[in-house]
Amino acid sequence: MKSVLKKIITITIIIFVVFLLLIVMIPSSYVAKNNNYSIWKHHLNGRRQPILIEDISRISSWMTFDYINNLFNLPQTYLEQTLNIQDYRYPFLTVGQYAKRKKVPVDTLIENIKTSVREYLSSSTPK
Amino acid sequence: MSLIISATLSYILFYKYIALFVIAYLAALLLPLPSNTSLLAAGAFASQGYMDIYIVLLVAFLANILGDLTGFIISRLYGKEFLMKIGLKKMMLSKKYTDIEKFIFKNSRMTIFVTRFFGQIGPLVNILAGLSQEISFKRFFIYGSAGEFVYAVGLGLIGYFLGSTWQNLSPVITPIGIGFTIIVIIFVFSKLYTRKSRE
Repeated sequence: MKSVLKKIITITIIIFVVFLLLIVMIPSSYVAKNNNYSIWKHHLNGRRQPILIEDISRISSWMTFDYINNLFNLPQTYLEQTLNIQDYRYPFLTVGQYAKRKKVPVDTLIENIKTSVREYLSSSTPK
Repeated sequence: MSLIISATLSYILFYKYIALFVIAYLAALLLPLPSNTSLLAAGAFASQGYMDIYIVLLVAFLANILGDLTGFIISRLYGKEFLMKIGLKKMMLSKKYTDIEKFIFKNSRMTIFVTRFFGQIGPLVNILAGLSQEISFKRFFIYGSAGEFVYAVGLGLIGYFLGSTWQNLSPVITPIGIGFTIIVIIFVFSKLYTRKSRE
């Protein structure tokens, strides 16, 4: 009886581990496939990740303006001028902090930032 | 994305390596901070040119091992006395506790090394290893360092190569960590149960 219980526990653990590994493998392979390995090539050559248009959709409230400028290679003052940001902490404040201070919905501000970034990327060639 | 994770990521963007060090160090001391997600994100930020990957890996490794050693040393110096004072003497003298201590000592090398990968259980093992006078500092340091090196470099590089898409993996990381923690706990208790039934 006890050896049966031990076998059941062992089999349960093995099934659980395999299940968890599948959960990791499936999204990882999806991510790798979508990247088409071009990003990996950039890393292997020691270069920073290229600017991706789909990164615009990932702009979130926790990001700082400084980080967004770096991510899309924007001039430091571009978002400040385009969105008329009047905060002495710019660019070292988060999107969420600015939205709260200005009392605007954070989703609206994020959409405005996305639009500004799209306009910049479509009008100029990223470095 | 949860509030804690969002706040943590913002701090990393503000204070970079200092924030990464503090988060990893405090998480190694049993505080519930998202160190796995932080390291993954820091690796991704490095791939985007916002941080330096070598410094990220070094800081993550140092913070984790220093946190582990802090937990171990405090537990070794003051652990037993503190637990006795707060009324856990009975628990410490119980057979269950002694069995867990013996299990950890018997499998100390593998236990210390493997639990570096599980943010939830690693700090607990640090405390138990410190309480157990039989696990030497040298053994803990060697296997803990080895485990933390593999963990910090591995997770940091995964974030680095995933780049912007690290956020796709982020919701999976914590449940996996919790899942593996549960597996380890089941494994330990099944071993203890097997030993008890043999006796």
